[in-house]
Amino acid sequence: MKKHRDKEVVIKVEDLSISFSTDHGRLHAVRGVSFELYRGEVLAIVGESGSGKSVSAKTIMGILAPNGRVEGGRIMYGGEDLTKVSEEEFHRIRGKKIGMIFQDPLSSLNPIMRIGKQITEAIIINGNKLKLMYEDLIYEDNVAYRNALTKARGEIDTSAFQLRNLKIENKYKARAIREDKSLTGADKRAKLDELIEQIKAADMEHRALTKRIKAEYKPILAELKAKLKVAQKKAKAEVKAYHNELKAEYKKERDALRAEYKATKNVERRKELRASLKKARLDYVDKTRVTRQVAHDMAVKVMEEVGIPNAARRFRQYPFEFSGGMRQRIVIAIALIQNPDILICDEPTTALDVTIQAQILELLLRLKHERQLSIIFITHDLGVVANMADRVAVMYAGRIVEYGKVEEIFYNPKHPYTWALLSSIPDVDTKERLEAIPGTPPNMVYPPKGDAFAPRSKYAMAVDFIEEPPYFQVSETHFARTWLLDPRAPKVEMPKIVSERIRISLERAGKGGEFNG
Amino acid sequence: MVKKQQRRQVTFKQELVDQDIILSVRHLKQFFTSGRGANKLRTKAVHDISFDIKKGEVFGLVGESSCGKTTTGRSIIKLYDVTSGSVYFKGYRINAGSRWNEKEIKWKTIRTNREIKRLKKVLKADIKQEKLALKQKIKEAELDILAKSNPELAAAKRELAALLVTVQERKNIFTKDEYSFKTKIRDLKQALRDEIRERSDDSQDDNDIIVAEINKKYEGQMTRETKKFEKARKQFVKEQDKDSKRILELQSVIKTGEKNLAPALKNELAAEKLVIATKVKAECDHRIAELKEATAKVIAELKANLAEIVKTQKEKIAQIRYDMKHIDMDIMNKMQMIFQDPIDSLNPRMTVEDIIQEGLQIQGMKNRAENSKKVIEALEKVGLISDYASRYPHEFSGGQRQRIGIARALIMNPEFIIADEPVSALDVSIRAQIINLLNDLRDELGLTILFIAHDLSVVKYFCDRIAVMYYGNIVELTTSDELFRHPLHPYTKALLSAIPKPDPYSEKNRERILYNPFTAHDYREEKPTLQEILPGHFVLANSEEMDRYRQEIAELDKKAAAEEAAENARVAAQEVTPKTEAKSKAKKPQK
Repeated sequence: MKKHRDKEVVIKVEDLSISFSTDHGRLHAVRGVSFELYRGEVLAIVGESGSGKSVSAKTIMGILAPNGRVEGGRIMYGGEDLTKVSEEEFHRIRGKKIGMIFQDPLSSLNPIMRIGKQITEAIIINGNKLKLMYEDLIYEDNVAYRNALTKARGEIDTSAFQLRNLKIENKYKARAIREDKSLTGADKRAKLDELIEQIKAADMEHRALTKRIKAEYKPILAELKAKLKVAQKKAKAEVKAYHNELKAEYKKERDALRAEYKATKNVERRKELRASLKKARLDYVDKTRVTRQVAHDMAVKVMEEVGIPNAARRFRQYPFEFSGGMRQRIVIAIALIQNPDILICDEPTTALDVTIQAQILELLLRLKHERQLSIIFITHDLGVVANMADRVAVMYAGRIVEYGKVEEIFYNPKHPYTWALLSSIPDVDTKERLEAIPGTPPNMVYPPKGDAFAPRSKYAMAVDFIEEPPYFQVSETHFARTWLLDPRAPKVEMPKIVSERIRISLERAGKGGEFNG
Repeated sequence: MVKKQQRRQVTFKQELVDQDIILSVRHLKQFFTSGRGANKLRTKAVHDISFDIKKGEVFGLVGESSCGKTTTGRSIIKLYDVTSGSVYFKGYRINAGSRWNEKEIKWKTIRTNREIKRLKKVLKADIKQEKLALKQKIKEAELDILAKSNPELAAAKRELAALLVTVQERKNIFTKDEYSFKTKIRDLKQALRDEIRERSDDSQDDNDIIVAEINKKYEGQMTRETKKFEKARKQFVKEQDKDSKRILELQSVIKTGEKNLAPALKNELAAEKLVIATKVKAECDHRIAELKEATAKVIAELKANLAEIVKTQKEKIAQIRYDMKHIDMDIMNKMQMIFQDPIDSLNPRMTVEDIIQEGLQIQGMKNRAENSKKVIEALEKVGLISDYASRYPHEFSGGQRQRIGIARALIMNPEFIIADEPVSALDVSIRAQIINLLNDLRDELGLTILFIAHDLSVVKYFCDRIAVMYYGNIVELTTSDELFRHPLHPYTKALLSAIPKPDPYSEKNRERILYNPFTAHDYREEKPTLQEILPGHFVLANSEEMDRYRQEIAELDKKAAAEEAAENARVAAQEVTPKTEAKSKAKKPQK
């Protein structure tokens, strides 16, 4: 309660909706998801495959697949909306401020590149400090121009997307009409002609829109481009001047030292001068770019931090010379070397053994503590969630069905899906039989009406098939989307296996048999 | 004459069939060699494991990756050739390796030959000894005879012989001393060089002082050694000189003495000497013959033993080769495997129907229509609809693909299934479905299952008996209830503590037990073996660890009893409250 109010919100996702255009139609992967990530906390997103958890994470990083688009909502980070940030601007955020690690470490690593090179790749590529300075100077103009360009193209693209969807829908409708045996030939032809007319009209509209937008934006774009060119020239001159200044300074110092070297015959003094010359040169180079040596040292430091033994020697090894757990540590090192504030982990331990998984989780918690990271942890394993998370969001069919602090979710779950997840986990302590969740998640091309989990739920009521439940507040930090929490709903107890387990856990922790607060 | 070869049969152990043991793995060893020359590496994946699986039970094989459990599974089903050991399925030996037998032959041959060589050497030395003794005796006899007539000459000769021996021995000792001295000096010089190289640092100011100090230390030692040696050498030279002088004297005395010897006396001496010599030589020869005979007997015995061992082992190797060539495919079809990765184990270019009926086709049943019927049956058994038969694997989710893999195994009507980590690649919520499916199939079809996994929590529900493996050895083998009641081996405890539980309070305070094989055990004195500590509970330990484990079992039992008592008290308390409530309610209307 009081604790979390003091913490600041780092990422706030509001009502995010994402869909993909596929051959079968539009797939609504994420429908109106909202959550917050607080500084220094771990937020776990739990759900089955296909619940939309990876998609949300990828959208935060801006690496959504090309056939996906954000339908609505926003992702607030550092005062900007990440869904509206263009690709150019994203370079500053992706990797540098928000890092991500993926599921299979061998697929994330280049198998024929030495790992040292892979870890230092990012800092060397982004290490040209003069280039960074140049880009900084032209940043605003560049961004303005590119944003305008994207906006123009975006509007055209949206219209094209809608046209394409219309065409696909009509294709299916046409097939249905052709196969419909109740209509006569003439009827069919009439209906098909109708559909064709529809498409033609939409096409004409699209073309008119394109022309209009192009005409509208042409002068704006020309103006911005001119401004950009001016800014580029100016920036180039400025950077060059700066570089020349640095060079001159270095040369002056170097000449002075060289002169003294020639003058003196003292062996000690000569040694000192040699060291100073070296230092001067390194300082100069350091100001212009990140050298391989500097990058190597940074990489070795990070490798030691994530617990790779003999880091200096293993710098030159290949990924296949490491075990699975070690590879995942390398991936974490690559993510952390640019010192991001936020780390998104997409099922990082699913491919690993139980003991290695425990090591990697301990490592992540230690890094979180040392670097004050905020972590979004995506998984389908509730045991891992209990270990890592401070808050949990349970996702099903593109919606968050329960959201709250980890103790609340585990000791006071309210949604039937959470109950089902908790009762399907084998536990070393209890002696009950496993209860599987029957059925499979729904096809998100046709999002179900009402509660998506209702067909698989034992506690479904008639209203679950008609209307979707809103969020009911269980406590200040705990929300659940189920009609069972409505005051008009019948009293339903959670399944015995879950309540027994909760009771035993609470007793073992010495907090009595019931959960309160 | 042509020896009639006895007609061979595949090894069949009736006792296994009588005891209802469907799979018996005996002393399985699996080694993989790789690399050449200096980089040659022999990886011992499985290090001599043995276990039996009874008909109808589910046997779990648990361990981390690269502990050898997958290798075991694949060796049983003959995806690998076994290096050594045997696998018996339904009494028939289906897989065996002859490496141990070959090694037996090799090592026994080497040892026997070594022993024979040693005996021959000993014999040679003994003979030499005898001959030397003979010479000595003759010399003594000669001197005795001479002493009777010419005592001074005999005495002189005796003294000369003794002196020569002393001089030679002293020389030997001194050479050894000299050699050791030289080595010491050399080592000291090397140590001096090393230390200077290590500790001196040109850039430091006090470098010279340090170097001087090191030099002083070593110089001191060297001078001490040299002094000692010089003293010894002086002693040696003095004594040698004295003795050499004496030798020269004696030699001149003997020369003059012999010159003065009368020729007739000489002949007499020679004749007497001959008599004694022949007698002594005969004795010596007799003894030598005895020795030779004894040694020959022992060698013959050793060779006979070896021949026998070689014969038995060769017979076994021949039997193994015969068994491996004549496997009955009908028997092998009763053993099927379910693989780990549902994505990789299904051919993406074949439809589900093709995948499932591939086994039937390989066995020769090529009638498509009949096979289709069987495919539909199999699909329905695993809970998929028959429409899925014409689809491709990529159209299915992970859980469904795993079911297709199970259907592919079931269509062959197996009696024994090896499930190699069937649920590791699936979502946690789907694992329960697949495990329940396997359970139902087991009840329905009477299957026996070897379940390979790396997660103990999954294995707990499903398996009757569990074997925990670590780096190719079975460290604990017992029923699943017993394993969780009394986890004894430190590796089992480490595995248990690594499983994440869905319980935030306990997880946040969890202390994970780490297993370090080097510090957890002290196997210098006594090597561990798989021993039975409770009926049916085997653990890899040596005798002192067994005592420790017995104590632990006593403690665990006490704790469990206390917990159960507390639980009973709580249940009893709960039962009391509703009863008293009902009583009070019943009382009210009476008022």
